[in-house]
Amino acid sequence: MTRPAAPHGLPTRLAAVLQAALQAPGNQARFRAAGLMQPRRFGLERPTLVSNWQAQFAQLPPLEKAAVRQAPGQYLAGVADIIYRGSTSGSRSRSYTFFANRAWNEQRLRSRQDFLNWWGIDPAVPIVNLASRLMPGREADWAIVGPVNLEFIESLRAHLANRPWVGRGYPSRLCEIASLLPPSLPGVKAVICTGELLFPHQRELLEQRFQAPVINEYGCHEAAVRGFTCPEFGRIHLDEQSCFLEIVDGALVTTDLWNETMPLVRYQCGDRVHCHETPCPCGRPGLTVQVLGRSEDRIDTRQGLKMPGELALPTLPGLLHYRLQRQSPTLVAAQIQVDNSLSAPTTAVAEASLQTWVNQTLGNHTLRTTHHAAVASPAVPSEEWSDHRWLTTLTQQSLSGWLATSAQPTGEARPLALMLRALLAPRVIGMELPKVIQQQLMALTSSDAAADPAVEAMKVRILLLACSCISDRSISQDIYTQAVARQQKLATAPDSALQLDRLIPALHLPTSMLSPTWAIAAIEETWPLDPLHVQHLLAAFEVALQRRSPTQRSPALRRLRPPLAVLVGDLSFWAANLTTAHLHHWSELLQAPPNLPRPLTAAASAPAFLASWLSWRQALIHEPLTAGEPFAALTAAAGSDAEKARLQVERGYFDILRHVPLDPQEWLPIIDTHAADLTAAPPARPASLTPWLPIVSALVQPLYQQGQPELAYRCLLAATLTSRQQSAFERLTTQFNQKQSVLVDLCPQLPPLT
Amino acid sequence: MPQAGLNRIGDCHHGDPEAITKSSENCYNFLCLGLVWVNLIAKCRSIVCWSLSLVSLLRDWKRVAVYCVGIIFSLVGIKSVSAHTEQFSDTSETPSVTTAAAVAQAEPPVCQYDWQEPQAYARIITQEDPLRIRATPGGRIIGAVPKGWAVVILEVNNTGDWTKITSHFGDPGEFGFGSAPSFREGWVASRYLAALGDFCEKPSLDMAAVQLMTGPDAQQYTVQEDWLQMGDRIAQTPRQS
Repeated sequence: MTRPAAPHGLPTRLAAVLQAALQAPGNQARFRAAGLMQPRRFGLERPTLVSNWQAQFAQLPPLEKAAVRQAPGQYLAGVADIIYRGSTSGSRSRSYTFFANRAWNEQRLRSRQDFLNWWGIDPAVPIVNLASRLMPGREADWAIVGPVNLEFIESLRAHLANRPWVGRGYPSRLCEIASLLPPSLPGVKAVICTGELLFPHQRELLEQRFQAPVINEYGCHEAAVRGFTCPEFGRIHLDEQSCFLEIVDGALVTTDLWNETMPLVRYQCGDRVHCHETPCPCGRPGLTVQVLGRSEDRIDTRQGLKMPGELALPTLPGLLHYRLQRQSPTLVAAQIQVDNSLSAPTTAVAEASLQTWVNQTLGNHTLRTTHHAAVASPAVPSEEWSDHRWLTTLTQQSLSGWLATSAQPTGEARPLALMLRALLAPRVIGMELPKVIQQQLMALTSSDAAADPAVEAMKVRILLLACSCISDRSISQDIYTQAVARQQKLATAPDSALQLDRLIPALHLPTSMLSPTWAIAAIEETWPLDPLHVQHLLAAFEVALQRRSPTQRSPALRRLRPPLAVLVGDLSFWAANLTTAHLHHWSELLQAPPNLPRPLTAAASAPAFLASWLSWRQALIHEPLTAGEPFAALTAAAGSDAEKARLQVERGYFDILRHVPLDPQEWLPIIDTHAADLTAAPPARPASLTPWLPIVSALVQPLYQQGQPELAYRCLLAATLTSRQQSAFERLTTQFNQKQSVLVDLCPQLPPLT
Repeated sequence: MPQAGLNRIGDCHHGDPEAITKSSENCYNFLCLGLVWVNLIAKCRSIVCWSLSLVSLLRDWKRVAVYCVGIIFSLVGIKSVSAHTEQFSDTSETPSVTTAAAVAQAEPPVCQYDWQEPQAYARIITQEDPLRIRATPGGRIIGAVPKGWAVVILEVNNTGDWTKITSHFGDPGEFGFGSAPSFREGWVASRYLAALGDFCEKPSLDMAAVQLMTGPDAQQYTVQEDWLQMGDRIAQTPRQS
């Protein structure tokens, strides 16, 4: 069935989007062939939409997702107003990044809240994303990620405040969670299922265990397709204000009405839907559909090939939930979660019923059953390390190496390890100060001194790190005060590692708290960095940027974007020769006016390049337009390849601050030539772009204007830095929280391609 | 899916003993279509070299005939299996890395989904060029995998010198992937693999890489590097003199 393209006339915004889409090279041949593009007499004029575009629109062949994925830059229609960066879901592990403008993002937020309002979910009600790759979206929202087991449930319960909340996630993961839930979970207002097909047996389980209504949310992020079930009739209503929707031979074809940065016109998002013939009796607007599944997901049944959404998976007493995978023409694998509250014979009956359903629907198959409980239980016990081994790993080897294991110290360092894991690899994402961390912090600050001085010193270091991981200034200050008090009670004199940790919060705490600390810091001190210091500095950079609006930062850091890249790039370069003067400089960059008592310059014995760099940066902060002389001094001091590379970075910053346009033909080769010299990594790894990101970011516009959208897209793709929480989210969800197919056929007999 | 945006354009850098020059990789695309004759151009150092080699080839009527036959074969989808090894340049540069041998022996836990077990992954870490893939340990060359790719470890031979690899999606067959058309399931030298660990999904962290230029020598850059790994990398910065 084909839904007519214009049931109520084409939306007025469509013309603007088509006009924008014409500017993207990837669209032009298609538009020209469809008669949508004015012929260009000299080939140089700006492409223009024909006047009768309404008549020609339906001639435009749909755009396949694979085409965009292959050359996404070709679909960039502009780079001036990019405010949003998103990724396709990558249902088949093939995602791409898209970009959108401010109006698109505003419409996205408005549309979503409109749907939530149907269910009485106001912006203050947090939506908690559970075990999914869905990042928290609104200010009140948060996520909890990682393996679904009893620890996950405990953590969820511990973080729930005594107020209404909404759970959200993939139905299959939510069912795993539901099967582990205690009889009553407080305050659940609703459960939103998204990302996978929702089957009736899943809905029943979720409604029963969460004791809340289940909402089916449908969406295709990059195409701005959004749909929610209505509370009255449970039909999925699609938002036609955001997207122009067509159904062509059962496939959803969409045109985003607000994205003029990367407009996708007549885009096949890959889903198949069944459109209801009649309007929903609830009276709400919007096309209503039943989602049938991905176009490539076909199930070979006795009745021929079917979409997963066309098959009614049964609710079977004794089975909480299950998933089926047809692995060969004779074998179906089933992963089942039995209801342990029922007797064994009931479960056996349920399994037999499942076998019957498989035989009746898919044909005769052997059913190989795996019990989900066995799969989901935590299989790997914690590896036990001595306190000494743990301390050595942290300070001399690798933090990521330790966190990738389940190893825990066995002695009095154990609570420290738990705290550090919660800080650096949090399972709760988007919450200001998770309760668990709060409780652990209180326990740590009030705990007795450890018998082992090394463990006690580490305790102080971790408390100091914690104060740089918390956005709330007053809590952060309290922790700092208590950490310093603990440090002063240490039996041994604090070593330089601890002294440095005490200085780092200068990047975000008030001057009054830090004067005594600065008094002990010698200017000429060079601080040896260990992995924990680096994490502390990275966290301090982040929190300092969070706490201060751009206008509170130095003018230099306001113009160099992303600002975190400047700081991390500096750290990366100076890590092996970090001095107190560096900390002072970063503090000045981060705060205008500076919050430290006196400007620090390099010690007399400092290497020439360091001394010149500090002078140059002082000039950059205070008088960027007339910093030619210190820059010349820096140029003269640059000797090694790394210093010469650094010089290029500083020159780029200088040009950006002086509003000198950067020429991509000059800068791309410079970056390619010098980037490896600034990358502290084995040569086999790809180089890091971090210090170059402000320059890369500044090249986007000129590249696009010069007709190089693919390179502009690459620069856009590269010109971002991740964060502590984003990284933790990626790390855990990639491993544990992917989407799952509830019904999949690995060997359908597809008709031959014609 | 393999890394997006890694458009590999042939160049003629000499690389590691088991690494093919990038021009060889291009040549290999032809190989996959049945063109054995391209061995002469494998050592070219630039596009100019390519052109010269082509001219040289076309002077030889026998090679012209082979070329034409190859084109016909490629049109009917016949894949040549007569690749041989002389076309690839070898140098003595060898990286010092952890081999993947230990990874394959680790006993993995069961994945939390999709009935899989975690698979052992390793990163290709040749210095400059794609890495040769062979039919057997030290045997006939059947393909190439680009530097920087994460591959699945299938098995390691008795000496540990050779590792059988495949892609996250299994054997890609005769067409490989868009950005690695020569990728095949086969054996590679273990010393050019850096163990990544066991994953249920293709390890994406630190995987995303991008090139800012399209030329043959374009540098690869990490995008959104993992925060912890970035910290460890910075902490390992050697002290400057």
